[in-house]
Amino acid sequence: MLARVAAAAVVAWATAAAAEPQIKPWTAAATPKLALPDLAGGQADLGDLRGRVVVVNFWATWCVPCRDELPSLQRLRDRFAGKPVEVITVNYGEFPQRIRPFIEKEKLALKVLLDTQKDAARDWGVGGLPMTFIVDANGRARYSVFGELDWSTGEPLQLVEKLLAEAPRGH
Amino acid sequence: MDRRDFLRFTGIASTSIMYPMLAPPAHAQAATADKWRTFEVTTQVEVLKPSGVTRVWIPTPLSLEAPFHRTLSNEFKAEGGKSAVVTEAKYGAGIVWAEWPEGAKPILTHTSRFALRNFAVDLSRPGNAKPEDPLILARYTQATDVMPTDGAVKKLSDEIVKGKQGNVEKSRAIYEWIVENTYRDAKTRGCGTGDIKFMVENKAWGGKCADLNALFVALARAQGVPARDVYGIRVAGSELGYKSLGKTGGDITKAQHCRAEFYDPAFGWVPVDPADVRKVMLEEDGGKKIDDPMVVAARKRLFGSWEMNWLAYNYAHDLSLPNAERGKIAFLMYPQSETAEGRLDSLDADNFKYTITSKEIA
Repeated sequence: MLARVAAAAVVAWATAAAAEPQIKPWTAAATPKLALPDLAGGQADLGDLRGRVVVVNFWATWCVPCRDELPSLQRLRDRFAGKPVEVITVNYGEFPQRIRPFIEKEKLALKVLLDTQKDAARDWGVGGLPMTFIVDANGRARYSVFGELDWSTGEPLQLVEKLLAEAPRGH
Repeated sequence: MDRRDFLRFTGIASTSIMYPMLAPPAHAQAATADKWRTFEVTTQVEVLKPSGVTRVWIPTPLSLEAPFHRTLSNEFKAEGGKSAVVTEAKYGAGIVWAEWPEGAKPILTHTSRFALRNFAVDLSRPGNAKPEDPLILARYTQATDVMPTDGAVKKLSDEIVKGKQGNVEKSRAIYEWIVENTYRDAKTRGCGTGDIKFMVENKAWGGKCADLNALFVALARAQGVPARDVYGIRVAGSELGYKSLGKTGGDITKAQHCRAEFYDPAFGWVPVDPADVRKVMLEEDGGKKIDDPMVVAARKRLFGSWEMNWLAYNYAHDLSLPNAERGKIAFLMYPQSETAEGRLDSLDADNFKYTITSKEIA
């Protein structure tokens, strides 16, 4: 059974999952590209992170379950500090002037990519928030989940550890 | 400007377009004998942080004939820029478009007048509707970008209509399934996105009108039953006792609402609104159960009739906005805008401010 951050029903802008969020195996043929500007003024490309397990989380400041979930992604990132695990958050459709104060207020140190025009969300099939993907060290998306999870414990953590164990050595 | 996509386009800063009074369409079942009510709706849009060329788009009242709707006039003004009323070719969606150069203060004002009357189709008697254009029926059985009619949607639809015959029986089964198995989620942003593929594949049955009524449309189309979303906005309070299904006070800025129709050869286009049944359950008197008499009455009424305290805009899906730099939108119910920064979020009050007011004038 998946752990959850809060007891409230998972909600999103489009839909809400009354049932427990389910981590699903990725079934699409190819992993979409993910190359976007980041909040720090640089550029980020998922393709540059080969050799690392990457958790990709789509979120927005107006999404309550997203806000509840982000601290657990920060804990996941902190837990794997120094290991080949990355957490990338992709903001859905907002501008930096809205995102930056939120990140500072919440004291988050996660990389934030800007999907201002929602193109990446479209490519990744994001129809509700939060939505999170786990990408293996070969750059292949392996799992997805719609809804809010506690990423620092239980099944989500075990899946990251499993993919980390599968990762080629030397990275 | 792509002339293949848009029928009418003129580059002017402001104008007023008057429409002839329209006769009831031949293909629809006769409406009720209710009187026509005339309304005026004014939409004012301001882009607060313009950058480079700024563009705004606003939906106009329904530009096609309907037994429940007559458009009387469209007036629009975009000082310092140019503007036009455009009719999109595929769905006939009316759009007010405006564009300003860098340095201008982008404000678009659009005032429309239209007449409405309640609409009901009596499904208990044999229908006698005239046939609809086969091209139109084909259009409203197609899949859209976020509304597939195959895969998981078809599978669910097959399960729901198993043993049902004809468009009315099948549509009723889908309507009842939505009322019983989905729910209105108050935390859904705006009216939802209508991403039916995502909704069905994730069994995420919460949402608002753009989700729940689009689900009706997708499940009907998956059976080959012509069906369409009708995007619009509530313009007055309900006279039927449903506080949740109307908007009083004149400010209708956040009153957007879409409904749905399905087509039957005997009855023509039939109005439905399963999403509003769930709205009654969630919002009337703090919430009501499905067997509450008020919910039962709404459930019965909203399969086959609409109270016309609501303005229809259009039926369009996957719409390319005229002169837009960015790609298609799933539907046009909220004002839209673009600057050099890209497409703005219609629900982001920091960048994009608009007010919509309504008053009954006759």
